Amino acid sequence: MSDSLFSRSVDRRAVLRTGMLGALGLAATPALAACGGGSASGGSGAGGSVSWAAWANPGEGERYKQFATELGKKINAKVNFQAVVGDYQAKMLSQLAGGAAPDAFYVGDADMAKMIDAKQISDLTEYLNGGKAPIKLEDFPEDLYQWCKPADGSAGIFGIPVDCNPSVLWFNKDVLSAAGVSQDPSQLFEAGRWTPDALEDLLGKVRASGKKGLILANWWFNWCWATTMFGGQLTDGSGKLVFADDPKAQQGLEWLLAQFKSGNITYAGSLPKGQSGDALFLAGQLALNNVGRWALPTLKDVKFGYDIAPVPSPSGKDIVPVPVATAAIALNAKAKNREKALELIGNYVSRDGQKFRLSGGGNAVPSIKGLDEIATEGGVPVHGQWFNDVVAKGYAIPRAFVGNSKTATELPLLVDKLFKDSSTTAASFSSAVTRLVESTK
Amino acid sequence: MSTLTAAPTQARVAQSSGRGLSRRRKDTIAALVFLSPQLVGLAAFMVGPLVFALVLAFSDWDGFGAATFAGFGNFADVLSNPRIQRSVLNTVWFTALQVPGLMISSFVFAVLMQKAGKMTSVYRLCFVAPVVTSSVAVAAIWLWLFNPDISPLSSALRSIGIQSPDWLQDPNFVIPAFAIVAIWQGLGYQLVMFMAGLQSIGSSFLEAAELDGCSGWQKLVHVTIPLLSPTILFLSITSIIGSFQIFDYIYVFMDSNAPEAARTIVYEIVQIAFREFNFGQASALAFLLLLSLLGITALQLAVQKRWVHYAE
Amino acid sequence: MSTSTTIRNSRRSASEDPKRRGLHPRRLAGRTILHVALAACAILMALPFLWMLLSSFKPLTEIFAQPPALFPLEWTTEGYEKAFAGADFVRGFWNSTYIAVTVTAVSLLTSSMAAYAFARIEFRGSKPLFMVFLATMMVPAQLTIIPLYIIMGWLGWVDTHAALIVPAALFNAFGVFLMRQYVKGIPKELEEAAELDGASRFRIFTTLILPLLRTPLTALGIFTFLGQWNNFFGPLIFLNSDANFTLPLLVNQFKGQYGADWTALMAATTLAAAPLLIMFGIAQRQIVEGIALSGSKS
Repeated sequence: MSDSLFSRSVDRRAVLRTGMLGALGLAATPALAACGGGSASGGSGAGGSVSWAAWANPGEGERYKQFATELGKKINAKVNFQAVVGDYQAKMLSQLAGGAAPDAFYVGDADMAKMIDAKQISDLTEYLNGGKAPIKLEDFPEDLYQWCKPADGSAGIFGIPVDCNPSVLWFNKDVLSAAGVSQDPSQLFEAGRWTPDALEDLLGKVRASGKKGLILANWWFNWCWATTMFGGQLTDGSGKLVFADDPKAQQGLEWLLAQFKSGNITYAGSLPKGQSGDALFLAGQLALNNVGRWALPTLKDVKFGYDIAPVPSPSGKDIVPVPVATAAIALNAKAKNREKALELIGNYVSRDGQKFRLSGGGNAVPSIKGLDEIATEGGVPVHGQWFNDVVAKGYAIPRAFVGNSKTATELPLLVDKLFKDSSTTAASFSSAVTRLVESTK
Repeated sequence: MSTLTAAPTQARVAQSSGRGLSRRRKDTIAALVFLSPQLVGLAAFMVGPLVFALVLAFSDWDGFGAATFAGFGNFADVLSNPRIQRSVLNTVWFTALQVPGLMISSFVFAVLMQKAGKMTSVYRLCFVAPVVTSSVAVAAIWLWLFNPDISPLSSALRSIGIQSPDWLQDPNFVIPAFAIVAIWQGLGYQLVMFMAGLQSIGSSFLEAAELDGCSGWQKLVHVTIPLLSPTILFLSITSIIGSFQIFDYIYVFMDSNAPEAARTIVYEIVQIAFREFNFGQASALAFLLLLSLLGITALQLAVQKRWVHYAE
Repeated sequence: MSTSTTIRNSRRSASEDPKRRGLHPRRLAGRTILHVALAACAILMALPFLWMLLSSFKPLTEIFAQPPALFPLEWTTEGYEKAFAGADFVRGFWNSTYIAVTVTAVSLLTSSMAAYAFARIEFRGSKPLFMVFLATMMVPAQLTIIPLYIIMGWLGWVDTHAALIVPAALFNAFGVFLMRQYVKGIPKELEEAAELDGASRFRIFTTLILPLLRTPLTALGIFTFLGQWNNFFGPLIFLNSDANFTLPLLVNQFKGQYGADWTALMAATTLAAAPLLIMFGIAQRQIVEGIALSGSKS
């Protein structure tokens, strides 16, 4: 009897629907008005309770829960950890809109500017300078937290990096030796001959052997190192994009585009972060993989030999500034328990806190200075110290890329288009990226 | 039936107690009683949020703080945004590939399986396996199958001299690739629906047609398809709705930075709402989608009289 | 209007059909080709599931081995050990099961009640109201998630299973649509007879309509159960404590922010999917019979 479904009386239907919508609109209004209240955390423990949220795999989740127990004893409060196991932004936004977000939570680089603008997170300057915090801002490499400041250059620091992952080159020794590469990148670096030319030469040999040399995606982590490899600058001290006018940055981009063109480097497009590269690397089909320390747990059982090397430099022996992926922990502006939440944040990123969270099979590098033993733990990979050296010189995502949430979503799309277009030059690439950043300011 | 006749007096008493009310009012009350649980659900968990979203469609709201009235601004922005226009094309293209592909292939398999005898349930189980395979596993497997470097599919194609495309990277192939996965995963459900429809036709009609000297093909065209037309209508309505809302595959394959060639309408809605914090625009786009789906469904129902046959 | 009895009869004769015919050599050849083709396609369809199942017993290096192999060279339960160590699957299994069962049971009742009202009781606004039900099927879930979250906060249901159970149990537009088609297919004469006997509507519904709807209810039940079992977005947004997590959330944990733990992920996805396939294997006859009526009217 489908004829009755959509046929007659459009007006009657419309009238009825508007009536119902109206009635329910009234019901929905108090729901919105009430969204300030109703936090999830209950209260026990003498100092009340405090909670934080983060994305976490099961290993991290377990470790964070132990951390919560330990911290609870220390700061005399009930500490709760919420693991977010999927779409982090959707979850946090729902919680913030419903007034039920935890006292502290992770903020990814793409969301920081919006969170600051919308006054959802609080300035930590006062706490950091107040003398009660177990950390000072100076304990962290300066270029690692610039993105936690307001994009317009005003004062304040709205998050502290929890840990980080520098952009290094992991390599498969077996693939390299099968391709006739006699000295691997770490040996070349130690011999002072790890130059962009040496990398190009190595990639060429791998390509001739029928395997892939290196796969890069449109993620800034994967391509921005080309702009700084020859000593160029991506941004100036104020955070403004300058790579379009820096000849050395242009040289690096030209080098990268030439590698794409020759097939030495494959553009992986927009597959999930690193996934295709990871799979091929694990399958022994890829010589170099440009990822962070997070690859370590997956490499535990592989049968081939592997190690890491920094991105090459013109001198062949220096470590150049390269991207460092990081996330920050921030204070909910409407935190129920501000005092304890600040203590939680301070202890979370302090040396002790990071050591507790990251030692014993961790998958990141500490974001605080003076914890070198984490990355070298167990002697795997052999040159783990280079993680620390790269972090010390590296940079987090430029504020120009994420100062506006529209830029943050449009940039990867633009880079994807440019990398797929064979007529792209270093100059056209730089001006298109700069134009996007300027236009959405 | 026996339970019904067992208590006539009781029912009669109940009937007489409501003598004051007209039949019509009594019916309305009865309908409300039967509908009440679903009406509460509809009101609280669907219409309420929907009104909120409708208000948002006419507002500027970033997910926090106060919303300000924006008139038709969001609708104008949505309609003039080339990224969204592209996503509409992608969605239509996906639907055009997936819905007929799915319905034809599941119909063919359903007809073939009618003749498979005892093995039917085994085959059917195999065809249903993709329905229950988790999206994580689906993504893992298809990322591998679509990767031209390591896919057994492309090595097989290469061995017969065909260069397989770089499915997920090539702007011309990414939507067909999603359609392939969607057909593969949706086949089991539609197959079961068609097989059920075929069984309900029964053999009597077909035997009669056979006696009339119809060939297998003629039987299919003149008997089976007309008798299955209600099922076809039902499936085409529901699968077009589903296909227009395609989102998961792109998200599990490409995460939040899919290239323009791979983005669909609902993907853009999520992107605009949760990545760009523009809930007003996201709601406006969602309402436009809702209106188009209503239009398409109404159209399908309007033309159904011309081709749908009911076995009465 | 064909009744359920005639359908049941015709189906029986259909299934006996091949046996009645003799097997000509030509027919035999045709059947062999048919079976070979169907078996090939069936294997292709099931291959990813098999790959998932068999990969869950592989060590990491073999999951990505080149060329890929279906069967593990070295069988290991490492993935399962990691999965069980990393997440409380027993609890997740219990959470998923009881949520899905509760939703399915209540939603079957409420949607068939509503379907009965739409199909059999004449009242003002019946058609437009039904239209509203249909239209809600076209609303993308992402559109209403934030207001829904606010409502749940208001009700105090955030981080409780009520946030998942109550909306799904009380509102199921697809279910109402599907069941309405079936109720319309039941001959009116049966009810008219009962009504003459003085039976109330409630009595007619419980003792006459519901029993006749048994098969379609089974089908709707399975679809509802499947949808709840695989529901990811709702639990993700509404649940905070991992003691409350359902299976899809536990599985997704192994994906990680940067890289997946592939052995554990394969084991976890298998653990979540296998019960469904087993259930379908057992219930498929019921399902197909149930759907036999669906779409016969629309």
